[in-house]
Amino acid sequence: MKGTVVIWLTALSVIVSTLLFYNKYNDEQSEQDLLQIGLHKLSTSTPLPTTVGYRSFTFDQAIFARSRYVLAPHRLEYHNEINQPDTVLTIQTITGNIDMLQDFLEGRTIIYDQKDSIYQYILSVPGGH
Amino acid sequence: MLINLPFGITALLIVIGCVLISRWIYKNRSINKVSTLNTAILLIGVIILTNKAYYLSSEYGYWDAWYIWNYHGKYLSDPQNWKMILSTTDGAHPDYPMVLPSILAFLKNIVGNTGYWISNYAFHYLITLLIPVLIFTETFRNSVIFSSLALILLVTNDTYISQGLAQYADTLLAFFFLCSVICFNNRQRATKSLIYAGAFLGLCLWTKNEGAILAALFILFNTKTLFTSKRYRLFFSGMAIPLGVLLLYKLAYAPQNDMIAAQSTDTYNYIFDLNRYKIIYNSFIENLNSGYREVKYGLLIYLLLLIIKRRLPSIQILMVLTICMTYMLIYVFTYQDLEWHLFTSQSRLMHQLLPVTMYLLAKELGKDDMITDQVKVA
Repeated sequence: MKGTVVIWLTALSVIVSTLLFYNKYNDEQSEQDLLQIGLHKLSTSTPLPTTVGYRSFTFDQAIFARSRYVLAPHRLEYHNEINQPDTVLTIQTITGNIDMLQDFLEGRTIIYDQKDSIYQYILSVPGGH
Repeated sequence: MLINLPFGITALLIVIGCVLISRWIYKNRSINKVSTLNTAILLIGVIILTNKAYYLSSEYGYWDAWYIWNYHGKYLSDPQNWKMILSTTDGAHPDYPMVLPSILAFLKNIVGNTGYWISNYAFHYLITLLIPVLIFTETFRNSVIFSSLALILLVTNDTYISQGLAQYADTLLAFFFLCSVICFNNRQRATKSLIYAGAFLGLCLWTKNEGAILAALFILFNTKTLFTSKRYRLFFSGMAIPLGVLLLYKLAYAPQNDMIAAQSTDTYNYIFDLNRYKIIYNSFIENLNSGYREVKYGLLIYLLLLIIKRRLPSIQILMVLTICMTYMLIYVFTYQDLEWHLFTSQSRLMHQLLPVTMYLLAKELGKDDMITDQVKVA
């Protein structure tokens, strides 16, 4: 038996494992999938500036990391006391802290507001009521 | 894209180049024969890993996959906007080397936006699989027992597989380092394999910042071998391209590394803080016992045999231990919260050294004169 058997075994294992992986996750809609779909809708329906601020009251950094990936090449940066881009994306779990969200949106204009079964996506700019 | 050639032609040229270089390096080598027994053992190992990967895989990888590697990859797949990665903030680490993002970007440009999560998985699975396969095929000539043990211990190690499928760059770095050591050890059979040894070590540099430690200590521990008979010419000619790319990126594009930028008198004073060493040691032992027990027992057996045989350890085992100690020194100087830093990265640093340690143990323990013939299967 030649050494090429090793190459075939490896290739076969990669194919089988990838197919198993595909079958395991393709029909499953995880929280991450939902987030990606929501953000994809946002980015296709609203023109975004180069840098978008990010504000969330769910205290989940994974949401920020995933959002940043989905929105690239638009840059997503934390909106804080020092860094305050005009356009701010707020991602809130629908069971999250509504009071804090409303406080933040005070004096801002909402230009995009959509919900799915877990998250609410709000894009806002300064000004307005 | 390579010198502005279309993507497909670039890919084709890379493949043709690799094939031609391999043929030139190994032109006089006969094809390795693999016995039925070895094939059966390898088949069992591959089946176990395929099965375990199904349960241990994560659809999108873990934290750093999204925070760093896939994120960089997405920028690199976009020729118009790739430079924007350099000005990203909030822990995106734009100074990190780019081998993994380049590969992910390459695959993303082939499969497109809808299939990239599958190609990402396939690539990481391939690397996770290649490591035990490579260790087995490189060591079974010495001893079927120890090569099989290395294979089975790796493919049944949940920590190893989870880290491999986490979609981080650590497994790729571990793979390149393993390849470099294997090619270096094959220099007797084909001197030109030193070109590959150098190239793989160069790729370590271009995969993660820790690659600099690997490369520096590898060269230091093998100075005598490299600088006799002008072998260093072959070695450094292999290293030249990845090293050149790394230098170009680091000097012309990348921002300063956060760890280096944060060094101050305070951080240098940490060297006298004995409590930090204690915390690092305790965390190391905890990680060793939870995910890398096979290495612990393997090294203990090796040490015991050395004492019985009254021998010194192999220079490569000493090299790996020195690398491990140097890795731990990073934590002494870290500006971040020490416990948090250890929690997030120490196990990954150990994961980087796991494959090469398993390979070296299988190789050393499988040597003809290490264990009596009654125990060893020739």
